[in-house]
Amino acid sequence: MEAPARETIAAISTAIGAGAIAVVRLSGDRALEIAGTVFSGPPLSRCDSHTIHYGHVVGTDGEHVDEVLASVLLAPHTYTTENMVEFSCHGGSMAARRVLEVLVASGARLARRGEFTERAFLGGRIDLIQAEAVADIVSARTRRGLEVALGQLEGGLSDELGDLRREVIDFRAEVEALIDFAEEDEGARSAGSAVEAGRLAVARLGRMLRNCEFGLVVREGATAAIVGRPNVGKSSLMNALLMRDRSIVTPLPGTTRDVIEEHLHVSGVAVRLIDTAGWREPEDEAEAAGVARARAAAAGADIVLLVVDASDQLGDGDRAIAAEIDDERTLVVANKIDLGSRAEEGELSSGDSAIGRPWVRVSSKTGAGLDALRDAMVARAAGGFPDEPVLVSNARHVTALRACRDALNRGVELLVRGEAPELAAVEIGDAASSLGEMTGETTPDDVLRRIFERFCVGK
Amino acid sequence: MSEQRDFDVAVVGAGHAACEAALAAARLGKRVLVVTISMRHVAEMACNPAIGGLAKGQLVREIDALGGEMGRAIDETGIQFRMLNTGKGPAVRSPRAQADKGAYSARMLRALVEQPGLTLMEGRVEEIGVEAGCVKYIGLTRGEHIGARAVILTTGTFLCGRMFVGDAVWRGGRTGEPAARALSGSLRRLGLAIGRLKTGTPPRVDAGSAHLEGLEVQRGDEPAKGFSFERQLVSVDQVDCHITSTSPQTHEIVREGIPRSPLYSGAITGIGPRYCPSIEDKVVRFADRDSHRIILEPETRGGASLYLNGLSTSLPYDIQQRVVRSLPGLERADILRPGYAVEYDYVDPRELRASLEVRHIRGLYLAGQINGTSGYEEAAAQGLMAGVNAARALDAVEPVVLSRSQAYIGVLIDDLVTKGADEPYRMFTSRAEHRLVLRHDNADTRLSETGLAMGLVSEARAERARRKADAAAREVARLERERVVPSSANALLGRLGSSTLPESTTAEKLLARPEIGIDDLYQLCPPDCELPDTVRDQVEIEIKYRGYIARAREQIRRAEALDGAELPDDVDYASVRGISTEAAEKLSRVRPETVGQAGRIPGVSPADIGVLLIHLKARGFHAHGDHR
Repeated sequence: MEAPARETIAAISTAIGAGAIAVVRLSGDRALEIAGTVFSGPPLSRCDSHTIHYGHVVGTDGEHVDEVLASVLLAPHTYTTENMVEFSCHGGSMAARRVLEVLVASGARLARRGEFTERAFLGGRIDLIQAEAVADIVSARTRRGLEVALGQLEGGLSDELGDLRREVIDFRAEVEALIDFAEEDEGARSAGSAVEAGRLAVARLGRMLRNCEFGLVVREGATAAIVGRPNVGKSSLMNALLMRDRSIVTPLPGTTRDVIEEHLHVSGVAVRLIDTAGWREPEDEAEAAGVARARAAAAGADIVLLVVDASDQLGDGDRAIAAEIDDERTLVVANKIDLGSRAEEGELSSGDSAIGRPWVRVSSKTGAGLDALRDAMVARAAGGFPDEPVLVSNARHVTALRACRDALNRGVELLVRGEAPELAAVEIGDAASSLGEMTGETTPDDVLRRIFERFCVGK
Repeated sequence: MSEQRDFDVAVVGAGHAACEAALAAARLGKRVLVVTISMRHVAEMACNPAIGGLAKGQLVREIDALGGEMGRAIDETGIQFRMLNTGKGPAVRSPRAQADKGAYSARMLRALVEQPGLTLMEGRVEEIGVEAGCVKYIGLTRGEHIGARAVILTTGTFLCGRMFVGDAVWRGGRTGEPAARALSGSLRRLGLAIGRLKTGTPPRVDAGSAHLEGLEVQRGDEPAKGFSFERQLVSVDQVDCHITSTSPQTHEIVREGIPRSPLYSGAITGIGPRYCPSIEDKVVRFADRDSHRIILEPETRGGASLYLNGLSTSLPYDIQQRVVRSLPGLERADILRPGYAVEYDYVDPRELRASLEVRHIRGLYLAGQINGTSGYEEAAAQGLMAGVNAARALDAVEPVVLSRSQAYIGVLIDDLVTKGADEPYRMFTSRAEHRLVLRHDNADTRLSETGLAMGLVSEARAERARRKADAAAREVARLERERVVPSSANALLGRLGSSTLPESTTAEKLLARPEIGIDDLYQLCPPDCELPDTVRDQVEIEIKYRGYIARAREQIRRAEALDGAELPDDVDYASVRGISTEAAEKLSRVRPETVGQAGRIPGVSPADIGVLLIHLKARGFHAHGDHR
C-alpha cells in the first residue's frame, strides 16, 4: 500500500473559472521533484518548508506556460501530510489547466475526486469525526461513477464512449486471439485485421478529442493533414501555404515517404500542417510505413486536406481515400487548376460515401484560390469547436482520452512494423486502463468473451 | 466409528492434481494416503493426450521449477514435442507435447508407488469428517473411517458425474468409471457452495481403420525440447499427428443430430467451456464456416487409438459414427469410444483461501476440477500448491502463496479465489497481466528459490538457476559496455538489411534492433566464454524486450505493494458506510486476504477500496503498512 498511496497526484484546487488566482496542487513523494522540473525559479527541492518562490512554469517543449508563485510545503506539516507544492497561477481556467497538464506530462497523476482529502485523512491530518464525511465524498465516486464521468463529457460524447470501449475491446480481442489462439483458431487471424480494428478506435478518439479539445486547439493549434494519391501536389500545396520550400517537390510520385510537419498561422489560428506520403499500394517497406503514418496523421488531424489533381479526371485512388476519411473534417482541395480543370466535384460523391465536402480549387503554382482555402480551413477548425470552453473538470478525461489514443497508436504502429503482438498488447492494455476511469475497467474476461463470440477457437 | 489408521494427509482422487499433491506432501515428510476409485486410472488423460500448450506449457515449467512431477513425467513419456507460437515473441511461446497416455499414467503410478511415506488404496470416499471446524477423517463406502489431519479433495469430473451420449444418460465420471455421489452431499452439509459444470471429449477411433496417407502431417520439433529444467533436450523417436477437416456434408449430419443432442435438448444444465466448443456449437454458432480443422492425435506410441482433436461432441452414437466417416482419411474408421459430455459438481472456489484451504474448515484443501478449472496442467499446479500448503499447515508454517507477478500458478489461484469460476477455467496468457516476465524460459530463475524454500528443490538445482540468472546478467552488462564500430559492423548490418552505423554504438543497442539476433551480434563481439543456449535466450529476451520489461517491473512493484497490505479476516463489509451494496456483497463473499485482491474482485471499484481503507483506519487497523 505504501507506494501507491504516495504516488504523486495533482489537481486544480480552486473553483473553476472564478477568482483572480487559481491554485494547482501537487502532493506525494515526488512532488518537489516533479514541480522542480517544470519551474524556472529557484530549485524547489532545496527550498525550506513553507516558503514561496516566484518563477514560470515551463512546458516540456520549453514554452512558458504561466507566471506563478510556488509554495513549498514539506511533510509532515501539510494538508495531506505528504510533500506538497502549490502553484498559484493566473485566474481563469486556461492557465491552471495548462499548468496541470504540464505536471501530468512530467510524471504526476491526476488526482481522483476527494483524493487529497482521503490522503489527509489516511495521514492522520483530519480527525476521525470527519471520517464518514470523507467516505461520503469518496463514495460519491462509486455511486455516481460512470454517470458523472459520462455526463461531464460534452457534445454527446457519452454514447461515443460506449462505442469506443467496444472498439478497444475488439482491438484487444484481435491481438489476444493472435497470441492465445494461434494454434487453435481456424480463421487464421492476421495482424492486418487487428490493425484495422485499432485504426477504427484511433479514428474515433481523434473525433472525440476534437470535440473536447477546444483549449488544446487554441494552444497547440489545429492540426491539418494533407493527404491524397501520389503526385497530386500535396507537397507543393504545403510549400505554397508556407510560402517556402520545406517539402521536397519532384515530379516523381512517392517522393514524400515520411510525414513532414510545419507550423503556420492562418487568420490568427495556429495550424500544424502535416504533409504525408501519397496513399497507394506500397512498393516497399519504407513506403508502407510512410502510408501507415499518413493514415495515422489523418486519423489524428482536426482538418484533413484531401488533395486531388484538378487537371486530370478523378480515379479510384481518389475515391478510395475519400471513402476512408469521409467525415466533417475533410476539405477537398482540387490542385493544379493552372494545368486545366477536368476533375468534377460530383465525381467524388459516388454511392453512399457522401462526399459533399467543401471543394476548393487552387493552384499551388500561381497561388490562385489559396486565400479561399485558408478561409475554409479556419471555418473548418472553428466549426469543430464547441461554443463553450470545455470545463476544467474535464481535464482528467481529455488527458485519459489522449493517453488512450497515443497508446493505441503505438500499438497499431508496433503491429504495422511486424513486432511481436504481445508488445502491442501492452500498449492496448495501457489504452484500456486510460479509458477505465470513464468507462469502467476492461478485464481479461471481457476480452476473452469477445474472442469467443467472434472467433471459432478451441480444440 | 473405528479409526483404523491415521495419516497426516489424505488425498481423495488420483488424477493430475492428486499426484502432485500426494508427492509434494510425502516429499515434505508427511504420511500420505491416496484413495481412488480405481487404481488403473492414475494420472489418466481423460481428454487430449497432450501436456502443455499456450499458457499451459508455462504452468508445467513452473510446476517443474517448484519441484513437481509433471514436467519430468511428460519428458519421459512424450511422443512428440513442439514449441508453439514461435512466430510471436518469446513471452508467449509455450512447449507442448503429445503423450503416450498409457506410459504417462504408468510413469506417474510408479512415482507414487516408489515414494516413501505414500500409501495407495482403492476405495470410494463418501464423507469428510469435520469436528469443531477441523478435518478429522475421511469416511469410505462401508462406513470405514480413516483419520487424517488434512484432506485434499481432487474429485475431477466424478462428483455427481453424469455422462451424455445423445439421449443416453448415465451416472459416471469417465468412460467405464462410476461417479462419486455421496461425497457431494457431505460437502453440501459442510456448507460449501456447489455448482454444476460441463465438459466434453471427442470420439476415439481405431487407428487401424484410418487411412492417414495424403493427410497433412504435423511433426514434432527437432531437436525435441522438453519441459523439465533438469534436462532440456529429450531424445525420442517422435510420432506424427495428421490433420483432416470437416466438410459441408459433415455439418449437415451434425445438424441432423442436433435435436437429439443433450446440449440442445436442455438435458445438460452445467456450463461448458467456451474455448472448447463442441462440434454442435461450432456448426450452429459459426454457420458461415463450411469447414473446421480436426487433428488426429495418436493416444499411444504405435497405438491403436486416435484422438480427434476438434470434434468434441455428445451427439448420439449413430450420428457420431456418420460424422467421423465423413472426414477425409476416416471414411471407414471405427469408433472405439464415442465422444461424450460430462456434467459434474464443483465447489465455488471463492470458498477458498489463496492456500487452497477451505476458509471455514481447517485442513480441508481442494484442487483441480473441483475448483472449477479445466486442464491437466491447471489441476497439477493446484495439486502441488495444496500438497505443499497442507504439509506446511501441519508444521504450523505459513502457506506458500505465489503472486500474480511471480507465476502463472499465482494468477490461476488468485483468479479462482477472487473471481470464482462460472465456466471451466482454463489458463490463457491474456489472463496474466505480467506475462512478459512470466515466461516458460525463465520459470527456473523465477521459482527455484521458492521451490528450495518449500523443500522440494535441491540446493544444487537452485544453484543452477542462480548461475543461469547471474550469467545472463553479466552478459547483459557486458553488451551494454562493449562498443561496436562501423568498420567491423556495417558489412554484416548491410547483409541483414539493417541500417548501417554512422558511428560506434553499444552491442546492446544493436541487439535491440528487431532484425539482429544474438547469433548475428556474436559474429561482431563474441562472448568471453561459451554461453549455454538458455543463457543466450535470457540475454536476448532481456535486451529486446527491455523497455517493456521495465514497464512490467514498475507495474509489478505497484501491484506488490497492494498485495502486501493484508486485510483482517473479520471485516463486516455490510457495515462499512459509503461502500456500494454490490461491493459489500462481493467482499463478504470473497473475504479478500489483501488490499490488492480486494481490488481485483469484479464489482469492487477503486473508490470502494478507498472507502474501505478509511473505514479500517478509523477502526485503528493499519492496512497501509508504514503510512505514518
